[in-house]
Amino acid sequence: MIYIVVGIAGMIGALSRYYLGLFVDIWWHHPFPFATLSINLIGCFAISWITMYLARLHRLPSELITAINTGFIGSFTTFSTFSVESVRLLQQSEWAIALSYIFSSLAGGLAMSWLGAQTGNFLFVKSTQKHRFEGEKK
Amino acid sequence: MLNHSALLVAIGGFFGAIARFSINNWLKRSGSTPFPTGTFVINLAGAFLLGYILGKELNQGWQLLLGTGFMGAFTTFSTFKLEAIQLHANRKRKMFLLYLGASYLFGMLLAFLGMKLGQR
Repeated sequence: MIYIVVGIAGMIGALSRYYLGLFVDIWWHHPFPFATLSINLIGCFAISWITMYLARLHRLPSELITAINTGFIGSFTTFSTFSVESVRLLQQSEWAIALSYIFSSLAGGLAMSWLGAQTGNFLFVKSTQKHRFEGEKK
Repeated sequence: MLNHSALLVAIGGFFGAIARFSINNWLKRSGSTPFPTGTFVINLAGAFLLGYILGKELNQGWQLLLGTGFMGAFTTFSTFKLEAIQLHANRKRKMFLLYLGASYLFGMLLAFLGMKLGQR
């Protein structure tokens, strides 16, 4: 059952990536793969935030967290397209664009994951403190 | 909204996500190591296969189904980065650098190899 749920979430993730790509293509006319980069960076922030906040709150069923993280965000972001796009830029001798793409994916991805984890952790700690305080009042 | 192209992406995405989830679960059951072997192997295999698919220059329908849909969903960037910062947080600095370096290097190398093999 959980496999089907992950599959459906993956379907929505892949479709969101496809439509966001089409939307970006309307106004972005530059060889730099802006669509994939922004998709991957948004996904990095979201999955870390959910893992450090929503998943630890235990208010949502763990199957739903798996569906969102592994299914939706996992399929929304992509490593294969990133690799192929980088190789193509290098093949076309677009060195500056290729290097800035690889670097922004490498450093930007880590930064967004870190930021998502930090804000998630901050919110989680804040919510547990609030609960403890409310418990003490009673 | 769901035209023919989007339907192909959706079907590919459905099976790509399930394939990644299954392989990861299977690897976790057969013994866990601190190194994220599952995502690592999946991403490298997907980079190679997407390169191969694009190199073959299949028609647009197959590219949407297998490329954008399946391989796009099979491989993942978000989990890769999350696992990397978790390695860093757990003070596994060497493994953190190895995971990042090997993923980027071999990902591009295998994508290139896949394209070349597909074009033959």
